[in-house]
Amino acid sequence: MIAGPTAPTDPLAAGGAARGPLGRRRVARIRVVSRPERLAIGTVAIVAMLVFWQFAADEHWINPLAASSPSAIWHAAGSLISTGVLGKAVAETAGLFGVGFGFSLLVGLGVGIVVGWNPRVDAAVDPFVSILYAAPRIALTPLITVWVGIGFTAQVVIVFLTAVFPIIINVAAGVRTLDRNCFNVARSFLGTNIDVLRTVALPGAVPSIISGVRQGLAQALIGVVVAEYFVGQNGVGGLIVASGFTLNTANAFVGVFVFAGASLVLTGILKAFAQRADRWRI
Amino acid sequence: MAEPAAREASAREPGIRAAGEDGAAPSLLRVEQLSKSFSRRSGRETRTVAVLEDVWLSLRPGELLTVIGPSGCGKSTLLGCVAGLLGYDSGTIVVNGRPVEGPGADRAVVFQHASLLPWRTVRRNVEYGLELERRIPRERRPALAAEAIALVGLGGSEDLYPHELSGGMQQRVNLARALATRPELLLMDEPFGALDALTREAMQDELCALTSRTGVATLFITHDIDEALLLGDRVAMMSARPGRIAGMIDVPFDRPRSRDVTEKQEFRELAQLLRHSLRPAATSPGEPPGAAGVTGVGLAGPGRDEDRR
Repeated sequence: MIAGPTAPTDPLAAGGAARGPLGRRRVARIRVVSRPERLAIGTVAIVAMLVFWQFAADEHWINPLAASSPSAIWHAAGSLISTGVLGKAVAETAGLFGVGFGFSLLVGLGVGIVVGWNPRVDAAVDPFVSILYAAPRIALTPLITVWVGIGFTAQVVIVFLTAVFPIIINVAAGVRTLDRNCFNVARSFLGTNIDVLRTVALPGAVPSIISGVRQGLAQALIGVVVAEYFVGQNGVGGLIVASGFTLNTANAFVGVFVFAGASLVLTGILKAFAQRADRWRI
Repeated sequence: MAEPAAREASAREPGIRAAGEDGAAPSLLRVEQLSKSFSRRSGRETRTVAVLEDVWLSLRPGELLTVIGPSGCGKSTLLGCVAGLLGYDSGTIVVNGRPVEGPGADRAVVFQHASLLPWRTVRRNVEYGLELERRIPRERRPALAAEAIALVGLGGSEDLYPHELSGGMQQRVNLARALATRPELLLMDEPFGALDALTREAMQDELCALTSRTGVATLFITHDIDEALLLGDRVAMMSARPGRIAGMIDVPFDRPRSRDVTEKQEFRELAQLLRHSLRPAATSPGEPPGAAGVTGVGLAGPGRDEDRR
Protein backbone atom coordinates (compact mmCIF):
# COMPACT_ATOMS: atom_id res chain seq x y z
CA MET A 1 0.00 0.00 0.00
CA ILE A 2 1.13 3.47 -0.75
CA ALA A 3 0.33 5.89 1.98
CA GLY A 4 -1.12 8.99 0.36
CA PRO A 5 -1.64 12.26 2.09
CA THR A 6 -5.12 12.57 3.47
CA ALA A 7 -4.90 16.25 4.41
CA PRO A 8 -5.64 18.94 1.80
CA THR A 9 -2.50 19.39 -0.25
CA ASP A 10 -2.89 23.05 -1.11
CA PRO A 11 -1.57 24.94 1.90
CA LEU A 12 -2.96 28.24 0.64
CA ALA A 13 -6.46 26.90 0.31
CA ALA A 14 -6.33 24.79 3.43
CA GLY A 15 -5.79 27.45 6.05
CA GLY A 16 -7.38 26.52 9.33
CA ALA A 17 -5.50 25.04 12.19
CA ALA A 18 -2.06 23.50 11.84
CA ARG A 19 -1.40 20.77 14.35
CA GLY A 20 1.89 19.43 15.49
CA PRO A 21 4.69 20.54 17.70
CA LEU A 22 3.89 24.20 17.05
CA GLY A 23 0.45 23.77 18.55
CA ARG A 24 -2.74 25.09 17.00
CA ARG A 25 -2.58 28.28 15.10
CA ARG A 26 -4.47 29.98 12.25
CA VAL A 27 -2.08 30.04 9.32
CA ALA A 28 -2.58 33.02 7.04
CA ARG A 29 -4.40 32.38 3.81
CA ILE A 30 -5.47 34.42 0.83
CA ARG A 31 -8.94 35.87 1.29
CA VAL A 32 -11.06 36.50 -1.77
CA VAL A 33 -14.57 37.87 -2.05
CA SER A 34 -16.56 37.20 -5.19
CA ARG A 35 -18.01 40.12 -7.13
CA PRO A 36 -21.66 39.42 -6.29
CA GLU A 37 -20.72 39.00 -2.64
CA ARG A 38 -18.92 42.36 -2.66
CA LEU A 39 -21.95 43.99 -4.21
CA ALA A 40 -24.29 42.40 -1.67
CA ILE A 41 -22.13 43.42 1.30
CA GLY A 42 -21.85 46.98 -0.03
CA THR A 43 -25.61 47.29 -0.58
CA VAL A 44 -26.39 45.95 2.87
CA ALA A 45 -23.89 48.40 4.41
CA ILE A 46 -25.46 51.39 2.64
CA VAL A 47 -29.01 50.37 3.51
CA ALA A 48 -28.04 49.73 7.15
CA MET A 49 -26.40 53.14 7.31
CA LEU A 50 -29.52 54.88 5.91
CA VAL A 51 -31.85 52.96 8.25
CA PHE A 52 -29.67 53.82 11.25
CA TRP A 53 -29.48 57.49 10.21
CA GLN A 54 -33.28 57.69 9.84
CA PHE A 55 -33.85 55.87 13.14
CA ALA A 56 -31.36 58.07 15.01
CA ALA A 57 -33.01 61.21 13.65
CA ASP A 58 -36.54 59.97 14.47
CA GLU A 59 -35.51 59.07 18.01
CA HIS A 60 -33.69 62.43 18.38
CA TRP A 61 -30.38 60.72 19.19
CA ILE A 62 -28.99 63.29 16.80
CA ASN A 63 -30.27 66.82 16.15
CA PRO A 64 -32.48 66.55 13.04
CA LEU A 65 -31.94 70.23 12.31
CA ALA A 66 -28.20 69.71 12.02
CA ALA A 67 -28.00 66.16 10.74
CA SER A 68 -31.20 65.99 8.69
CA SER A 69 -32.43 62.51 7.78
CA PRO A 70 -32.78 60.37 4.67
CA SER A 71 -36.56 60.96 4.48
CA ALA A 72 -36.14 64.73 4.90
CA ILE A 73 -33.47 64.77 2.18
CA TRP A 74 -35.74 62.71 -0.08
CA HIS A 75 -38.61 65.15 0.39
CA ALA A 76 -36.30 68.16 -0.07
CA ALA A 77 -35.04 66.66 -3.34
CA GLY A 78 -38.63 66.17 -4.51
CA SER A 79 -39.62 69.79 -3.89
CA LEU A 80 -36.34 71.16 -5.29
CA ILE A 81 -36.98 69.21 -8.50
CA SER A 82 -40.67 70.07 -8.79
CA THR A 83 -40.03 73.79 -8.29
CA GLY A 84 -37.29 73.70 -10.91
CA VAL A 85 -34.70 75.08 -8.49
CA LEU A 86 -32.49 72.03 -8.73
CA GLY A 87 -32.78 71.83 -12.51
CA LYS A 88 -31.63 75.41 -12.92
CA ALA A 89 -28.77 74.92 -10.44
CA VAL A 90 -27.61 71.72 -12.13
CA ALA A 91 -27.72 73.43 -15.53
CA GLU A 92 -25.57 76.30 -14.26
CA THR A 93 -23.10 73.96 -12.63
CA ALA A 94 -22.93 71.72 -15.68
CA GLY A 95 -22.25 74.75 -17.88
CA LEU A 96 -19.44 75.91 -15.61
CA PHE A 97 -17.96 72.43 -15.41
CA GLY A 98 -18.26 71.88 -19.15
CA VAL A 99 -16.58 75.12 -20.15
CA GLY A 100 -13.91 75.06 -17.39
CA PHE A 101 -13.01 71.40 -17.78
CA GLY A 102 -13.23 71.64 -21.57
CA PHE A 103 -10.63 74.40 -21.60
CA SER A 104 -8.42 72.47 -19.17
CA LEU A 105 -8.62 69.42 -21.41
CA LEU A 106 -7.71 71.33 -24.56
CA VAL A 107 -4.89 73.32 -22.99
CA GLY A 108 -3.70 70.43 -20.81
CA LEU A 109 -3.41 68.01 -23.73
CA GLY A 110 -1.82 70.58 -26.03
CA VAL A 111 0.70 71.95 -23.56
CA GLY A 112 1.36 68.48 -22.10
CA ILE A 113 2.21 67.01 -25.52
CA VAL A 114 4.51 69.91 -26.45
CA VAL A 115 6.22 69.91 -23.05
CA GLY A 116 6.67 66.14 -23.07
CA TRP A 117 7.96 66.09 -26.65
CA ASN A 118 10.31 69.09 -26.75
CA PRO A 119 13.03 69.03 -24.07
CA ARG A 120 13.73 72.77 -24.43
CA VAL A 121 10.10 73.77 -23.98
CA ASP A 122 10.04 71.32 -21.09
CA ALA A 123 13.00 73.03 -19.47
CA ALA A 124 11.33 76.42 -19.83
CA VAL A 125 7.82 75.47 -18.78
CA ASP A 126 8.56 72.89 -16.11
CA PRO A 127 9.45 75.35 -13.29
CA PHE A 128 6.14 77.19 -13.71
CA VAL A 129 4.10 74.01 -13.89
CA SER A 130 5.88 72.52 -10.88
CA ILE A 131 5.34 75.61 -8.72
CA LEU A 132 1.72 76.08 -9.74
CA TYR A 133 1.02 72.36 -9.37
CA ALA A 134 2.51 72.32 -5.88
CA ALA A 135 0.65 75.47 -4.76
CA PRO A 136 -2.98 75.18 -3.66
CA ARG A 137 -4.47 77.05 -6.63
CA ILE A 138 -7.62 77.77 -4.64
CA ALA A 139 -5.49 80.28 -2.74
CA LEU A 140 -5.53 82.38 -5.91
CA THR A 141 -9.32 82.82 -5.76
CA PRO A 142 -9.22 86.36 -4.24
CA LEU A 143 -6.67 87.44 -6.84
CA ILE A 144 -8.79 86.04 -9.64
CA THR A 145 -11.80 88.05 -8.48
CA VAL A 146 -9.58 91.15 -8.49
CA TRP A 147 -8.52 90.40 -12.06
CA VAL A 148 -11.73 89.28 -13.72
CA GLY A 149 -14.49 90.19 -11.26
CA ILE A 150 -16.97 87.70 -9.81
CA GLY A 151 -18.85 86.59 -12.89
CA PHE A 152 -18.86 83.40 -14.95
CA THR A 153 -15.40 84.22 -16.31
CA ALA A 154 -13.88 84.18 -12.84
CA GLN A 155 -15.56 80.85 -12.12
CA VAL A 156 -14.23 79.36 -15.35
CA VAL A 157 -10.72 80.61 -14.53
CA ILE A 158 -10.87 78.94 -11.12
CA VAL A 159 -12.03 75.61 -12.57
CA PHE A 160 -9.44 75.84 -15.32
CA LEU A 161 -6.57 76.54 -12.90
CA THR A 162 -7.51 73.69 -10.59
CA ALA A 163 -7.89 71.14 -13.37
CA VAL A 164 -5.27 71.98 -15.97
CA PHE A 165 -2.04 71.18 -14.10
CA PRO A 166 -2.60 67.52 -13.29
CA ILE A 167 -3.50 67.05 -16.96
CA ILE A 168 -0.36 68.84 -18.22
CA ILE A 169 1.91 66.97 -15.83
CA ASN A 170 0.54 63.50 -16.59
CA VAL A 171 0.32 64.00 -20.36
CA ALA A 172 3.88 65.38 -20.46
CA ALA A 173 5.19 62.48 -18.36
CA GLY A 174 3.48 59.98 -20.65
CA VAL A 175 4.84 61.52 -23.84
CA ARG A 176 8.32 61.92 -22.31
CA THR A 177 8.72 58.23 -21.44
CA LEU A 178 9.31 57.05 -24.96
CA ASP A 179 9.93 53.32 -25.41
CA ARG A 180 13.55 53.26 -26.60
CA ASN A 181 13.19 49.96 -28.44
CA CYS A 182 10.16 51.11 -30.40
CA PHE A 183 11.91 54.42 -31.03
CA ASN A 184 14.79 52.55 -32.69
CA VAL A 185 12.36 50.48 -34.74
CA ALA A 186 10.82 53.68 -36.06
CA ARG A 187 14.28 55.09 -36.78
CA SER A 188 15.35 51.95 -38.61
CA PHE A 189 12.36 52.41 -40.93
CA LEU A 190 13.31 56.07 -41.54
CA GLY A 191 10.56 57.41 -39.29
CA THR A 192 10.53 61.16 -38.77
CA ASN A 193 10.05 62.94 -35.46
CA ILE A 194 6.37 63.38 -36.26
CA ASP A 195 6.12 59.65 -37.10
CA VAL A 196 7.60 58.77 -33.72
CA LEU A 197 5.24 61.14 -31.93
CA ARG A 198 2.25 59.82 -33.83
CA THR A 199 2.95 56.11 -33.77
CA VAL A 200 5.03 55.57 -30.61
CA ALA A 201 4.91 58.44 -28.13
CA LEU A 202 1.21 59.34 -28.19
CA PRO A 203 -0.24 55.81 -28.19
CA GLY A 204 2.22 54.92 -25.43
CA ALA A 205 1.09 57.92 -23.43
CA VAL A 206 -2.57 56.91 -23.42
CA PRO A 207 -2.53 55.41 -19.89
CA SER A 208 -0.84 58.56 -18.51
CA ILE A 209 -3.23 60.78 -20.43
CA ILE A 210 -6.20 58.93 -18.98
CA SER A 211 -4.85 59.17 -15.45
CA GLY A 212 -4.21 62.90 -15.99
CA VAL A 213 -7.77 63.39 -17.21
CA ARG A 214 -9.07 61.43 -14.22
CA GLN A 215 -7.15 63.63 -11.80
CA GLY A 216 -8.16 66.76 -13.73
CA LEU A 217 -11.79 65.67 -13.51
CA ALA A 218 -11.67 65.32 -9.73
CA GLN A 219 -9.87 68.65 -9.43
CA ALA A 220 -12.33 70.37 -11.76
CA LEU A 221 -15.23 69.30 -9.54
CA ILE A 222 -13.43 70.80 -6.53
CA GLY A 223 -12.86 73.93 -8.60
CA VAL A 224 -16.56 74.11 -9.49
CA VAL A 225 -17.58 73.89 -5.83
CA VAL A 226 -15.06 76.53 -4.77
CA ALA A 227 -16.06 78.84 -7.62
CA GLU A 228 -19.73 78.54 -6.77
CA TYR A 229 -19.13 78.90 -3.03
CA PHE A 230 -17.01 82.02 -3.18
CA VAL A 231 -17.60 83.62 -6.58
CA GLY A 232 -21.18 84.20 -7.65
CA GLN A 233 -23.01 81.75 -5.40
CA ASN A 234 -25.07 80.11 -8.08
CA GLY A 235 -25.46 76.57 -9.33
CA VAL A 236 -25.47 73.55 -7.04
CA GLY A 237 -22.60 74.99 -4.97
CA GLY A 238 -24.54 78.21 -4.41
CA LEU A 239 -27.61 76.14 -3.42
CA ILE A 240 -25.54 74.33 -0.78
CA VAL A 241 -24.15 77.60 0.64
CA ALA A 242 -27.58 79.28 0.72
CA SER A 243 -29.14 76.21 2.35
CA GLY A 244 -26.43 76.19 4.98
CA PHE A 245 -27.03 79.83 5.83
CA THR A 246 -30.73 79.16 6.36
CA LEU A 247 -30.08 75.95 8.32
CA ASN A 248 -31.88 73.99 5.58
CA THR A 249 -29.57 71.01 5.96
CA ALA A 250 -31.79 68.72 3.88
CA ASN A 251 -31.38 70.97 0.81
CA ALA A 252 -27.63 71.19 1.45
CA PHE A 253 -27.42 67.39 1.53
CA VAL A 254 -29.30 67.21 -1.79
CA GLY A 255 -26.61 69.43 -3.31
CA VAL A 256 -23.81 67.31 -1.85
CA PHE A 257 -25.39 64.12 -3.22
CA VAL A 258 -25.78 65.74 -6.64
CA PHE A 259 -22.03 66.44 -6.68
CA ALA A 260 -21.25 62.91 -5.49
CA GLY A 261 -23.52 61.45 -8.16
CA ALA A 262 -22.05 63.64 -10.90
CA SER A 263 -18.54 62.60 -9.89
CA LEU A 264 -19.47 58.91 -10.01
CA VAL A 265 -21.12 59.25 -13.41
CA LEU A 266 -18.21 61.22 -14.92
CA THR A 267 -15.63 58.79 -13.55
CA GLY A 268 -17.70 55.91 -14.90
CA ILE A 269 -17.81 57.46 -18.37
CA LEU A 270 -14.05 58.00 -18.28
CA LYS A 271 -13.50 54.41 -17.15
CA ALA A 272 -15.56 53.06 -20.04
CA PHE A 273 -13.63 55.29 -22.41
CA ALA A 274 -10.31 54.15 -20.93
CA GLN A 275 -11.25 50.50 -21.40
CA ARG A 276 -11.99 51.13 -25.05
CA ALA A 277 -8.65 52.89 -25.54
CA ASP A 278 -6.89 50.09 -23.66
CA ARG A 279 -8.38 47.09 -25.41
CA TRP A 280 -4.93 46.00 -26.61
CA ARG A 281 -3.84 45.46 -23.02
CA ILE A 282 -4.36 42.33 -20.95
CA MET B 1 50.57 44.66 -28.52
CA ALA B 2 51.35 43.44 -32.00
CA GLU B 3 47.88 43.82 -33.35
CA PRO B 4 48.26 43.60 -37.13
CA ALA B 5 50.51 40.62 -36.71
CA ALA B 6 47.77 38.76 -34.91
CA ARG B 7 45.42 39.11 -37.82
CA GLU B 8 47.96 37.95 -40.32
CA ALA B 9 49.03 35.07 -38.13
CA SER B 10 45.57 33.59 -37.92
CA ALA B 11 45.21 34.00 -41.65
CA ARG B 12 47.78 31.34 -42.28
CA GLU B 13 46.05 28.76 -40.15
CA PRO B 14 43.68 26.30 -41.77
CA GLY B 15 40.02 26.44 -40.81
CA ILE B 16 40.03 30.03 -39.80
CA ARG B 17 40.93 32.76 -42.20
CA ALA B 18 41.72 36.30 -41.40
CA ALA B 19 39.00 38.85 -41.75
CA GLY B 20 38.85 40.95 -44.88
CA GLU B 21 39.98 38.14 -47.15
CA ASP B 22 36.83 37.43 -48.98
CA GLY B 23 38.18 36.95 -52.42
CA ALA B 24 36.97 38.88 -55.42
CA ALA B 25 33.24 38.19 -55.18
CA PRO B 26 31.18 41.37 -55.46
CA SER B 27 30.12 42.28 -51.99
CA LEU B 28 26.75 43.59 -50.94
CA LEU B 29 28.10 44.92 -47.68
CA ARG B 30 31.62 46.11 -47.09
CA VAL B 31 32.82 47.20 -43.68
CA GLU B 32 36.37 48.54 -43.71
CA GLN B 33 38.54 49.75 -40.88
CA LEU B 34 35.50 50.46 -38.76
CA SER B 35 36.30 51.95 -35.38
CA LYS B 36 34.00 53.26 -32.70
CA SER B 37 34.48 54.28 -29.13
CA PHE B 38 32.16 55.45 -26.43
CA SER B 39 33.18 58.12 -23.97
CA ARG B 40 31.97 57.40 -20.51
CA ARG B 41 32.05 59.94 -17.76
CA SER B 42 32.85 58.63 -14.34
CA GLY B 43 33.01 61.42 -11.84
CA ARG B 44 35.29 64.15 -13.08
CA GLU B 45 37.23 62.28 -15.74
CA THR B 46 35.94 61.16 -19.10
CA ARG B 47 37.14 57.74 -20.17
CA THR B 48 37.09 56.63 -23.77
CA VAL B 49 36.33 52.96 -24.32
CA ALA B 50 37.10 51.52 -27.73
CA VAL B 51 34.20 49.25 -28.68
CA LEU B 52 35.14 48.45 -32.25
CA GLU B 53 38.62 48.75 -33.64
CA ASP B 54 39.65 48.15 -37.23
CA VAL B 55 36.72 45.90 -38.09
CA TRP B 56 36.71 44.43 -41.59
CA LEU B 57 33.77 42.52 -42.93
CA SER B 58 32.08 41.79 -46.20
CA LEU B 59 28.92 40.06 -47.22
CA ARG B 60 28.08 38.59 -50.60
CA PRO B 61 24.57 38.76 -52.07
CA GLY B 62 22.38 35.99 -50.73
CA GLU B 63 24.86 35.07 -48.05
CA LEU B 64 24.09 34.60 -44.38
CA LEU B 65 26.99 35.71 -42.25
CA THR B 66 26.86 35.04 -38.54
CA VAL B 67 28.93 37.13 -36.19
CA ILE B 68 29.77 35.45 -32.92
CA GLY B 69 31.63 36.77 -29.95
CA PRO B 70 31.63 36.97 -26.18
CA SER B 71 29.07 39.28 -24.63
CA GLY B 72 30.19 42.87 -24.65
CA CYS B 73 32.50 42.41 -27.64
CA GLY B 74 30.64 45.03 -29.63
CA LYS B 75 28.81 42.74 -32.06
CA SER B 76 25.48 44.49 -31.47
CA THR B 77 27.27 47.83 -31.85
CA LEU B 78 28.61 46.63 -35.19
CA LEU B 79 25.08 45.79 -36.29
CA GLY B 80 23.84 49.17 -35.07
CA CYS B 81 26.50 50.90 -37.17
CA VAL B 82 25.59 48.91 -40.28
CA ALA B 83 21.91 49.65 -39.65
CA GLY B 84 22.74 53.34 -39.46
CA LEU B 85 21.28 53.60 -35.98
CA LEU B 86 24.67 54.29 -34.42
CA GLY B 87 27.39 56.59 -35.61
CA TYR B 88 31.02 55.51 -35.87
CA ASP B 89 34.34 57.27 -35.52
CA SER B 90 36.25 56.14 -38.58
CA GLY B 91 36.21 53.61 -41.38
CA THR B 92 33.64 52.96 -44.07
CA ILE B 93 30.44 50.99 -44.35
CA VAL B 94 29.16 50.52 -47.88
CA VAL B 95 25.93 48.75 -48.83
CA ASN B 96 25.49 48.06 -52.53
CA GLY B 97 27.95 50.78 -53.37
CA ARG B 98 26.26 53.38 -51.21
CA PRO B 99 28.03 54.58 -48.08
CA VAL B 100 25.93 54.22 -44.93
CA GLU B 101 25.12 57.59 -43.41
CA GLY B 102 22.01 56.64 -41.49
CA PRO B 103 19.11 54.21 -41.57
CA GLY B 104 18.08 53.21 -45.06
CA ALA B 105 15.34 51.36 -46.85
CA ASP B 106 17.93 48.95 -48.27
CA ARG B 107 18.42 47.51 -44.79
CA ALA B 108 15.94 46.19 -42.21
CA VAL B 109 16.66 45.26 -38.63
CA VAL B 110 15.26 42.33 -36.67
CA PHE B 111 15.73 43.57 -33.15
CA GLN B 112 16.90 41.61 -30.15
CA HIS B 113 13.67 42.41 -28.34
CA ALA B 114 10.61 42.06 -30.53
CA SER B 115 9.83 45.74 -29.88
CA LEU B 116 6.34 45.47 -31.29
CA LEU B 117 3.87 48.30 -30.86
CA PRO B 118 1.53 46.78 -28.27
CA TRP B 119 -1.49 48.74 -29.48
CA ARG B 120 -1.21 47.39 -33.02
CA THR B 121 -2.33 44.00 -34.25
CA VAL B 122 0.12 41.63 -35.91
CA ARG B 123 -0.99 42.87 -39.32
CA ARG B 124 -0.56 46.54 -38.43
CA ASN B 125 2.82 45.84 -36.81
CA VAL B 126 4.05 44.12 -39.96
CA GLU B 127 2.80 47.06 -42.04
CA TYR B 128 4.64 49.49 -39.76
CA GLY B 129 7.89 49.59 -41.73
CA LEU B 130 6.08 50.01 -45.05
CA GLU B 131 4.00 52.76 -43.51
CA LEU B 132 6.99 54.75 -42.21
CA GLU B 133 9.14 54.29 -45.31
CA ARG B 134 6.35 55.56 -47.59
CA ARG B 135 7.89 53.95 -50.67
CA ILE B 136 4.99 51.63 -51.33
CA PRO B 137 1.52 53.06 -51.95
CA ARG B 138 -0.90 52.52 -49.13
CA GLU B 139 -3.16 50.14 -51.03
CA ARG B 140 -0.32 47.72 -51.77
CA ARG B 141 0.83 47.44 -48.16
CA PRO B 142 -1.72 44.84 -46.96
CA ALA B 143 -0.65 42.41 -49.68
CA LEU B 144 3.05 42.77 -48.85
CA ALA B 145 2.33 42.41 -45.15
CA ALA B 146 0.21 39.33 -45.74
CA GLU B 147 3.02 37.79 -47.78
CA ALA B 148 5.55 38.41 -44.99
CA ILE B 149 3.14 37.07 -42.37
CA ALA B 150 2.67 33.90 -44.40
CA LEU B 151 6.44 33.59 -44.87
CA VAL B 152 7.06 33.46 -41.12
CA GLY B 153 4.13 31.10 -40.58
CA LEU B 154 1.83 33.48 -38.74
CA GLY B 155 -1.15 33.16 -41.09
CA GLY B 156 -4.37 33.25 -39.05
CA SER B 157 -2.87 35.39 -36.28
CA GLU B 158 -3.14 38.70 -38.14
CA ASP B 159 -5.67 40.23 -35.80
CA LEU B 160 -4.02 39.31 -32.51
CA TYR B 161 -2.31 41.87 -30.31
CA PRO B 162 1.30 41.31 -29.21
CA HIS B 163 0.33 40.44 -25.63
CA GLU B 164 -1.66 37.53 -27.03
CA LEU B 165 1.46 36.06 -28.70
CA SER B 166 4.17 33.82 -27.29
CA GLY B 167 7.77 35.03 -27.33
CA GLY B 168 8.50 32.98 -30.45
CA MET B 169 5.49 34.37 -32.28
CA GLN B 170 6.49 37.91 -31.32
CA GLN B 171 9.89 37.34 -32.88
CA ARG B 172 8.21 36.04 -36.02
CA VAL B 173 6.31 39.33 -36.23
CA ASN B 174 9.60 41.15 -35.67
CA LEU B 175 11.07 39.20 -38.59
CA ALA B 176 8.00 39.65 -40.79
CA ARG B 177 8.05 43.41 -40.16
CA ALA B 178 11.60 43.52 -41.50
CA LEU B 179 10.93 41.17 -44.45
CA ALA B 180 7.83 43.09 -45.54
CA THR B 181 9.97 46.05 -46.60
CA ARG B 182 11.92 43.76 -48.98
CA PRO B 183 15.36 44.78 -47.75
CA GLU B 184 18.53 43.99 -49.66
CA LEU B 185 20.24 43.30 -46.37
CA LEU B 186 18.62 41.82 -43.29
CA LEU B 187 20.27 42.65 -39.98
CA MET B 188 19.40 40.29 -37.14
CA ASP B 189 20.55 41.19 -33.65
CA GLU B 190 20.50 38.04 -31.48
CA PRO B 191 16.82 37.63 -32.31
CA PHE B 192 16.48 34.20 -30.69
CA GLY B 193 18.63 34.86 -27.64
CA ALA B 194 15.74 35.48 -25.27
CA LEU B 195 13.65 32.49 -26.36
CA ASP B 196 13.42 29.19 -24.53
CA ALA B 197 15.57 26.39 -25.94
CA LEU B 198 12.80 24.53 -27.80
CA THR B 199 11.34 27.65 -29.39
CA ARG B 200 14.82 28.81 -30.31
CA GLU B 201 15.53 25.57 -32.17
CA ALA B 202 12.22 25.77 -34.01
CA MET B 203 12.96 29.37 -35.01
CA GLN B 204 16.44 28.43 -36.20
CA ASP B 205 15.02 25.64 -38.35
CA GLU B 206 12.47 28.02 -39.84
CA LEU B 207 15.08 30.66 -40.54
CA CYS B 208 17.19 28.01 -42.29
CA ALA B 209 14.27 27.16 -44.54
CA LEU B 210 13.31 30.79 -44.99
CA THR B 211 16.76 31.98 -46.05
CA SER B 212 16.85 29.33 -48.75
CA ARG B 213 13.51 30.60 -50.05
CA THR B 214 14.02 34.37 -49.88
CA GLY B 215 17.74 34.44 -50.52
CA VAL B 216 18.06 37.76 -48.75
CA ALA B 217 21.57 38.56 -47.54
CA THR B 218 21.67 38.47 -43.77
CA LEU B 219 24.02 39.63 -41.06
CA PHE B 220 23.15 37.60 -38.00
CA ILE B 221 24.54 38.42 -34.56
CA THR B 222 24.63 35.63 -32.01
CA HIS B 223 26.51 34.35 -28.98
CA ASP B 224 25.42 30.78 -29.55
CA ILE B 225 28.08 28.66 -31.26
CA ASP B 226 25.72 26.00 -32.65
CA GLU B 227 23.40 28.72 -33.92
CA ALA B 228 26.28 30.48 -35.67
CA LEU B 229 27.33 27.28 -37.46
CA LEU B 230 23.84 26.00 -38.21
CA LEU B 231 22.65 29.25 -39.78
CA GLY B 232 25.76 30.80 -41.26
CA ASP B 233 27.37 30.37 -44.64
CA ARG B 234 30.33 31.92 -42.90
CA VAL B 235 31.00 32.67 -39.27
CA ALA B 236 32.90 35.79 -38.23
CA MET B 237 34.46 35.60 -34.80
CA MET B 238 34.82 38.73 -32.79
CA SER B 239 37.21 39.32 -29.96
CA ALA B 240 36.35 41.61 -27.12
CA ARG B 241 37.52 45.02 -25.95
CA PRO B 242 38.12 46.43 -28.42
CA GLY B 243 35.93 44.39 -30.72
CA ARG B 244 37.57 43.22 -33.92
CA ILE B 245 37.06 40.37 -36.34
CA ALA B 246 39.48 37.74 -35.12
CA GLY B 247 38.81 35.15 -37.77
CA MET B 248 36.42 33.78 -40.32
CA ILE B 249 35.10 30.26 -40.82
CA ASP B 250 33.60 28.96 -44.04
CA VAL B 251 30.82 26.62 -43.01
CA PRO B 252 31.11 23.61 -45.30
CA PHE B 253 27.48 22.41 -45.23
CA ASP B 254 25.19 22.73 -48.23
CA ARG B 255 21.86 24.50 -48.30
CA PRO B 256 19.03 23.83 -47.75
CA ARG B 257 20.36 22.77 -44.39
CA SER B 258 18.57 20.96 -41.64
CA ARG B 259 19.30 20.43 -37.99
CA ASP B 260 20.82 17.04 -38.90
CA VAL B 261 24.11 18.75 -39.72
CA THR B 262 24.60 19.46 -36.02
CA GLU B 263 25.09 15.71 -35.53
CA LYS B 264 27.95 15.54 -38.01
CA GLN B 265 31.48 15.02 -36.80
CA GLU B 266 32.65 17.99 -38.86
CA PHE B 267 30.06 20.26 -37.24
CA ARG B 268 31.08 19.20 -33.76
CA GLU B 269 34.72 19.81 -34.58
CA LEU B 270 34.03 23.30 -35.88
CA ALA B 271 31.92 24.03 -32.80
CA GLN B 272 34.75 22.80 -30.62
CA LEU B 273 37.21 24.98 -32.49
CA LEU B 274 34.99 28.03 -32.10
CA ARG B 275 34.47 27.30 -28.44
CA HIS B 276 38.19 27.19 -27.80
CA SER B 277 38.83 30.28 -29.82
CA LEU B 278 36.16 32.33 -28.13
CA ARG B 279 36.82 31.19 -24.58
CA PRO B 280 38.78 33.72 -22.55
CA ALA B 281 42.38 32.53 -22.40
CA ALA B 282 42.05 30.13 -19.51
CA THR B 283 43.96 27.31 -21.17
CA SER B 284 47.69 27.53 -21.50
CA PRO B 285 48.74 29.42 -24.63
CA GLY B 286 50.55 26.60 -26.38
CA GLU B 287 47.90 23.96 -25.92
CA PRO B 288 46.04 23.15 -29.11
CA PRO B 289 42.25 23.08 -29.01
CA GLY B 290 41.04 19.52 -28.73
CA ALA B 291 39.18 19.36 -32.01
CA ALA B 292 40.65 16.51 -33.99
CA GLY B 293 41.48 17.13 -37.59
CA VAL B 294 41.60 20.90 -37.26
CA THR B 295 44.91 22.33 -36.32
CA GLY B 296 45.12 24.54 -33.36
CA VAL B 297 44.32 28.14 -33.90
CA GLY B 298 45.37 30.34 -31.10
CA LEU B 299 43.46 33.52 -31.55
CA ALA B 300 46.26 35.72 -30.42
CA GLY B 301 43.72 38.12 -29.08
CA PRO B 302 45.01 41.47 -28.05
CA GLY B 303 43.02 42.93 -25.26
CA ARG B 304 41.20 39.73 -24.54
CA ASP B 305 42.17 39.14 -20.94
CA GLU B 306 43.43 42.53 -20.00
CA ASP B 307 41.33 45.71 -20.00
CA ARG B 308 38.86 44.05 -17.72
CA ARG B 309 39.04 46.75 -15.06
